[in-house]
Formats: sequence, structure tokens, C-alpha cells
Amino acid sequence: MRSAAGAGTAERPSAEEEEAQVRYAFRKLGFYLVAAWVAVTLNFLLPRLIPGNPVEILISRMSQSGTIPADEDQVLTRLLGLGTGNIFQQYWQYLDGLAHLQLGLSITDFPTPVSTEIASSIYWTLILVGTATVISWVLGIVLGTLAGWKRGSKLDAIIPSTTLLTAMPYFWLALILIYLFATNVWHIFPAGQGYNTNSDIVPGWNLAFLGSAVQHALLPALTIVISSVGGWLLGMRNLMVSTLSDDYVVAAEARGLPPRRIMISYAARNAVLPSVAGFAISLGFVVSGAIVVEYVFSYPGIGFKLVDAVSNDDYPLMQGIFLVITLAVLGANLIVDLLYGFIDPRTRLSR
Amino acid sequence: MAAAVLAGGLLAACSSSGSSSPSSSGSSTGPTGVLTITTGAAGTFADDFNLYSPNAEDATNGMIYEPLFFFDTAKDGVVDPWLGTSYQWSSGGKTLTVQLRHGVKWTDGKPFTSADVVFTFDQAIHNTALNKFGLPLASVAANGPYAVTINFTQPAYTDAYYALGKVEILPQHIWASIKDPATFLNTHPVGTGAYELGSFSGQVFTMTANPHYYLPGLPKFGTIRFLAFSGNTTSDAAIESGEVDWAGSYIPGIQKLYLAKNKNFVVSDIPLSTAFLVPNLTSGPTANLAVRQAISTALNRTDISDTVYNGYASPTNPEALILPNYSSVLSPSLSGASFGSPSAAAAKNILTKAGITTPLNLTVDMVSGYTDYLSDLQIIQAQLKPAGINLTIDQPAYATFTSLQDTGKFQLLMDNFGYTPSPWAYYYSILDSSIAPAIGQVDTVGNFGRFRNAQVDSLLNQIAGTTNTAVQNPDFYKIEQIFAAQLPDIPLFNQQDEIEFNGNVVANYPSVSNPYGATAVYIQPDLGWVAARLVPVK
Repeated sequence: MRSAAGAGTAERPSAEEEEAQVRYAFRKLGFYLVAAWVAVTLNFLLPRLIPGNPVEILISRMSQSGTIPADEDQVLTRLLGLGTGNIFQQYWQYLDGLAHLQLGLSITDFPTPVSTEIASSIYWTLILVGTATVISWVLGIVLGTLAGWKRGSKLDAIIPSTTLLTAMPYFWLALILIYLFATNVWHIFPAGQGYNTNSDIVPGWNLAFLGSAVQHALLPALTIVISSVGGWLLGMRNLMVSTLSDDYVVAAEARGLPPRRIMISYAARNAVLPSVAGFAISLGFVVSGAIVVEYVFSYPGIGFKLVDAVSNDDYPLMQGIFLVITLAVLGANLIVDLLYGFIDPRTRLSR
Repeated sequence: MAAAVLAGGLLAACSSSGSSSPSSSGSSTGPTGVLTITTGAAGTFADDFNLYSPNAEDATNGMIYEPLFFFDTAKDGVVDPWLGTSYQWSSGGKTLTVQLRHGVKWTDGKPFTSADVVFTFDQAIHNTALNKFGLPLASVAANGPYAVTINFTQPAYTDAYYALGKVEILPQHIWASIKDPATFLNTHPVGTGAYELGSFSGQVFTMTANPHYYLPGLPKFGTIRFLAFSGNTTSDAAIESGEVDWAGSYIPGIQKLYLAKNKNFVVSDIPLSTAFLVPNLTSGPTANLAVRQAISTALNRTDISDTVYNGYASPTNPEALILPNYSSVLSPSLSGASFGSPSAAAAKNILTKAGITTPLNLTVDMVSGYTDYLSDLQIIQAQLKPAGINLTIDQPAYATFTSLQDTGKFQLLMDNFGYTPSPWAYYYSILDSSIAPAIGQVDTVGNFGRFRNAQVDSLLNQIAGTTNTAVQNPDFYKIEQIFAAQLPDIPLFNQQDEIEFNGNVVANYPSVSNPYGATAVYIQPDLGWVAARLVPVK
């Protein structure tokens, strides 16, 4: 992109520059490979640091509804296929499984495969948190641009209140919204679940389900938007302010360009760059879901599933979910890094 | 447990089920209405009805698949015919002969015969991982299409509850071709039960009435809907609003928050389990009987019941027997026994006499998030203070608590035991020394305080070796006396099983006066047995 700042050049890049680009890409890829291996190994180790083991927890739960026959632990260990080999053999089995894209069977929902568990919950999260993140970002950027453009105006005065909302914990905000809009004051929205489960609605591509799902997503989405919009807004506003004092903006004003064009094409276009990077990274985190929001709203996403897995010492499910989250975050970072090299050439020329 | 030769026949099941409600609906109109249930399990559902899985959905056991007999968890000694009609022990408890019901069909239309029963037990014999209840099985054979003989490697009277009441029968024509039954995802279950799987999603699944169920007039409800919630907070809100018709969730201030909301909201509270303070009996101050007696003497159990449970979860008795469930084995000399009036001074006196310096510092562990237990322990903490005992409450997460409990690394624990129709199994799980290895080694079965008493062990062994109640009862009496004297666990109250029913929708649920099954939604196969007998209102 040929920006007003004159950072790009229209000529063909020299051979030296092309080589620098390739070197940059390879260096990044190598770094991400190492990072991925570290993450995968941590995924293996961390669940095992939780005290107890899945069989003990299963039996303990079973004893909440009946007496336990002797040798039950051995039966379950065999049934679940656990406890074969020492930790190194287990690590090898784990890597071998990953290489073949086999994540194993969940223990909480034995014998459901982990991949099925993740697949059934991830789309709830992607749609809810993904949409909410996009809305929050767009809203933050637009409002931030306007607030920065009209410094000291009424709009600018609301900035402190949005940062207050950002400082508020998710669950607290969620509980207040439920109290106000779902259970106690106004009964406008449902208090939880992904759709109206106490009805004859069948999930699928039908209007009744989609309508119900949207209705149920509004309140959790509102929670995420309210608590995250302030960050984008503030960042964008401050960058707008500093960009507006740059020479090329002053020059544009001196040339008598329309204010609207100066605001959008000159100032906002340059000020938004850091936010684009931040946005891409936060998209990576969408996969991890807003764990607290999903938990408070009983929303059937991946964050909710993760809480479930942790409380049951479900190693395979935890590993699977962590893996997906890690890969998504790493992937988003990699894409940003690579794209950034093209969007903003300053980052790639390391002379 | 009586080795009763049950009067066979189809009608026996109906009459003994105690469905006293004179409802004429059902057979004339067919199953109607929707019953909404939450089992209280947090999280989402998995599309899996494989009965070998320890986490199969609750509807699997009893609602889809059925065992041979129904052992009423709420009433010791009541054994009703289910897929079997009668059974007989022989060869000193090593052989079990079972007569099967005629005219039963799987939901795919194929007939149910002895081949299915033989197949089911054979699976457990040939693959120990599928021997769900660790039964000492030797062989199994059919005697014609409607009788089977099961042979055990050792006398197995006490295993009758598991072999007959918990092992559910699978259709051979479907499962014989499944290579690994343990990891088979059973998404389209074919059973003999009163309900079939309808629709399924992670947050709700429905069970629809089996139109060809073999018991005339059952089931009564057309559809049963299972809802998933993230935890107590969200499920309580749904129960209090009347959205859920049958639930088993702890609601604080249940009088005001639930019962007062609608005149037809009912709580059915049948004692099925006892809440205990479990002391460490091999190390630390609680190994000293005087300390356990002092704690028990200082406790005001009625106060706990009134404050935390609105009068439900009443104090239990010094022998910790679950009553009226096990009343048939209650020692006459202990009939009506209760804890003396609570006294901190008397408790302090016991400690002083035993030469224990006060204040005595003790730590109790409970599972983090069990809010009612926390309230209980805070009251207990205040009650023990004037007796010279400083109680510290630790709240580890579930996994950590389980680990501490299993390895015996605690001073006191708060937990509950029960949910079995057999008083033998109950006492065995809290007292027998053979199930509890040394501190540090993992024990998952019970007796977490590591109680060791040779007399109790031999009494339990003797009860297990016979079905003659004339021999068993005196042994039970002795165990009860020893329990009351030794306090191997400190009994608190009948574990709250406040099961909520919305009387605007459902009738004929079990109660203390008509305990034809456990009402608790999380107890199987009682869930299926009771669900088939619940009657829709109007």
C-alpha cells in the first residue's frame, strides 16, 4: 500500500530485498516450530501436575451414588486404557498420536473421541466470541477515530467511562447483566444456554433454532463487547491524536483536502496499524473462548468444555483443547508477523 | 439380603412397585406429556449410551437398558422382578439360577431371550475390563430360552445386588459384532427399557416412551427431557421457576426459594446416605477415641439441619444406620437411640479426662464449592470452639480432595456414604479393613479413615456368607454396637437428598411413606424404574 507517509516504493524490489524477505520468513517459521514443540510438550506435562488421577476422581464421583465394588479401580484403568508405560513412553505415545492427528478418547465423556468433543463445542465459541470480538473491534476503531478527531468534544469525554468498564471483571459484568436483563429486573433475555433447550427446537439449519440461538447469544456477546471495546477505543483514540499532529496531516490540511478524507485516509489509516496486529492476535484467542463468560451463561462453547475437563482430570480432552488453542494463537501470530512484513516494511529490514 | 424366590408373573412388578395412585390414565390413553429433568451433573451431554462407560448418560442405566431385578435403593430387602422373574441360590452361594420374563422385545422388534443374558455375562468373563462390578464370575449357561445359570468362583451372596440389580442386559444380535465394546460409541441404543432415545444435543436430549413396553400401562409420560446446566446456580434458577419438574439440586433456604413459590412444589426427602466427619484413625489426634467422642458430644446436629437445610437432612443416629431404609437390621437395643443433648462442657471434660491439652487444633477437608458443606462446617467450627477444639476448614478442589481422601492424608474429612439397598454393603464400605491399605497407599473403595477391627471384619464376613437373616441380624446388631462405641466415623445427618418435584406436572413420586424407588435423579437404575411409574398430572 502506498501510504501518505511514503513508506512504500512503487519500483520492483531489488534481489537483496527479496532475499531479506525470504530470510525473514524462514527465521519466523523456525521460531514458530520451536515454540510449537515447547507448547505441545507443556500440554503433555501440565495436566499431569494436577494432583490425583482420573480413575480416582471417577470412582469418587461414582461413590456419590452407590457403593464401590473392590477392584473397581483396576477395571476402570483397563477400560479407559490408562497407565500403560512410564511417563516417557506416554510422551512418545502422545507425540505419535499427534503426528497421526489422533487426540485420543475423552475420559469425562468416555468413549467419545476428543476431536468430536472439540468439534461439537468450538463452533459455539467461534460464532459467539468471534462475532463479539469483531463487533467490539469495529466499534472501538470507529469511536476511537471520531474521539481522536474531535479531541475534547463530548464524545471524547466518555473515554474514561469505557476504561472503567474494561477494568470490570467479565463474570461480575455478566452477573449484573443477568440480574438486570434476565432474571430479576427485566425479563428480556434468557439467562443462559446456547438455545432454548426446554422446547421442541432441534439444532440445525432451521429458523426456530437460529432465532433462539441468536437470542441466547445476545447477552453473553454484550458482556464481551462492553468489557473489551474500551481497550480498542482508547488505543485508537490516542494514536489518532498523535498521528493528527504529524507533518503529512498538517500538509494535507494545508492543501485544503476535505476534513473527512484527512480523517479517514490520512490519519485513521496510519493510526489503525497497531490495532490490526492486536486484532489478529485477539482472533487467535477467540478459540480459547471467554471461559468465564461461557461458564456464567452455561454457554456450550470450548471454554466451558475446558473447565469441565480440568475438574475431571480429563488429560486427553485438556491436551486436545490446549493444543487447539495454542495452535490458533501461534497461527494468528505467525500470520500477523508475515503480513506485517508486507504491510509495514520497516519491520522486516533489519540492517 | 433375602434370596427370595420371587413370585413370578407380569403383575408382580406392578403390584409391588407401590404405584398406589388410583390414576386411570396410561393404559387407556397411552403415554402423554413432557417431564423435564436435570440430574445435577455439570457440563454438557455426550452422545453416548454405552453402558460400559463409567460416564454413560444417566438415562442409559434403567431407562434404556434394564437389569434382571430391581433392588430398591430406598428400601432394604425389596427386590422386584424386572427382566428376570425369580432367582435361586445353590451350591453354597456359588450358583445362581434365574428365570426370565417371557414376551419381552428389544426396541428393534427382536425377542429378548436367555441368549442375551448369557452373552452379557460372557462379555464380562472374557474381558475383565467389561466386568463392570468386578464380579467373581466363572461361567454362564442357558437352560432353555427363558432361564440361565450363573456360576461364581466363590460364594457370591453379597454380589447379588451387582449381578442381578446392576448388570444390564445387552442385545446379543447387535453387540456380538462390535469389536471393542469398551470404546463403542452407542449413539443409537437398542434396549428393552420403557424409553427410547429421541433427539440429542449437547445441552438437551429427549427420551420417548417405548410404545411396545412389556409392562401394561407403563410408562405414563410420553417424553422425558434431560437438561444440562453449568452448575447449581443456573440449575437452581430453572428449578425455582418451575421450568424443571424433577431435580436433585441443593437449594439454600428451600422453604422460601422453592416451596413457598407454588403450593404444588414438593420436596421428597428419603434418607439414602449418611454425612460423616471421617477421622484419620491411624495417626494424629483423631486416632484417639476421646477426641472423636468430644467432637460428637459437642455437635448440635439439629441446629445444622435447621439452619442449613430448613429442617431437612435430619440428625442420624449413633450407629449411623440409614433409617427407615435398613430398619430390618436395627438392633432392638438401639431402637430409637439418639445422640445426647449437645454439650461443650461435657466435650471439654472428655478431653481433660483423657489428658488432652486444649485448645486442640484440627483441620477438616471438604470439596471446594460444596456450599452446603461449608455452611455445615462453619456451624460445627463455632460449636467446637467452646469445647476447646479449634477447627480449620480447608477447601481443596475435587481432584485434590479425592487424592487426600484416597491416600489417607487428612485429619478429618467431610463426606457421605450410602446409596445402596444393602446394609452389609454400607457397613462394609465404611468399616472393613481389607479394603483400606496403609496410609499413603491408594484406597478407592472406602473406609478412608483406615478402621481396623478384627471382630467387625469377621462379622461382615459372616453376614456375607449366608442369606439367612436369623444368622445375619445378630451380627448386624454387634456391628452397630461397636460403631456407636468406637465412633470410627462421626455421623452427622442424613445426607440431604432434597429431591424437587413440580406437583403441577408430575404425581406418584416415591416418598418416605411409599419408597418404591430412590427419588434421587442421579441414582441408577432407580431413575429408570421410577421414571416409568411417574404419572402426568391431568
